[in-house]
Amino acid sequence: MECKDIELFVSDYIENRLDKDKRREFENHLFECEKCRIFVEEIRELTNDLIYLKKGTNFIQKNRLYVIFDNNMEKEEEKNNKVLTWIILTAATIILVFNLFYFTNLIPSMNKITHILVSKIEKTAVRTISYIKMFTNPEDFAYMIRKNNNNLNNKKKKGGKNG
Amino acid sequence: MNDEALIHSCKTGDKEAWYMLVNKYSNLVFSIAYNFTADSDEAEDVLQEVFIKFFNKIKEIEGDFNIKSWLVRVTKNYCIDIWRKRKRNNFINELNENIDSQAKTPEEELLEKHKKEILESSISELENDFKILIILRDIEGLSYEEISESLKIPIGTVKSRLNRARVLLLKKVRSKEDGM
Repeated sequence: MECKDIELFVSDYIENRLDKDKRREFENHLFECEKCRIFVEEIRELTNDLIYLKKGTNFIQKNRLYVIFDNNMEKEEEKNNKVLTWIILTAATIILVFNLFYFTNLIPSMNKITHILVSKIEKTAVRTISYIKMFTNPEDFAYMIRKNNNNLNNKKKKGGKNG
Repeated sequence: MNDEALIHSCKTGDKEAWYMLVNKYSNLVFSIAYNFTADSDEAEDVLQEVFIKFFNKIKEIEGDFNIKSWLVRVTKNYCIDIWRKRKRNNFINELNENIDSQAKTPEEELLEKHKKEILESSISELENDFKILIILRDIEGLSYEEISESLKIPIGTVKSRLNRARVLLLKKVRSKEDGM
């Protein structure tokens, strides 16, 4: 082994990663060469000293990191609140405009449309309620079917007489 | 509690889990940042930025995730950004004078002040690729596997580059000591 090899394998040597033969060669060279011996010792000393450069965070620094959690949670909450506020505001505006057109005749066509819309909503609501009743109360359901059948029969009879 | 459990708890809004993650990894991040930038203010900025990024990352984490490797990688990237900005602004010369004092541990007291300063300024003069290896291996004591995973370079490269870094560092330390 030569001096340039010592420089190449110095880390492997100080970290005990050289195999037996290489280690022997390495140490034989160190025995003969004072310059390399000093060099290896200095590298070893250097790596030992470097450990003391390790730093740690203090209480204040850690505290600043802790609050990242709270700050982000607050931001998220603020965001959610904003969305909710916008939803409420939009709904209120729609209702206001709708009422304006429904109860006043500022734009006649819009007044007509809103009345049609309201009547459709009413019809849908009545139909929905009747469906709910049908499924929740079987007696009413049977009665309605009977009534429906009677209506159909009457229509047929009337049709037969006319024909 | 392992990292996976801590991340899961953190996702569900457990503040204590976040505190535990901070306690576990803040020293590592700060130490890398400080030794890389040789400036405690900048190291603090890096620490803050890395942990904000980490908090936002937590929401996306699914399954296996190596927090340590991720933090090391992100810290290194932030430090390099700072180094580039500094270089651009010609602040690089300030590095050697800009080594300020942190609260000292008894172990630190053992090392003579001037020796510590020489070491820190010598490290700051190393190329970034060498500097990070000295910090991760010799200062932080990370294993070769951890370094390889964090920096995404093969273990063989880590070993050879670290050896080169140590030799270079020793040369710089020697020249500084001789100049004193």
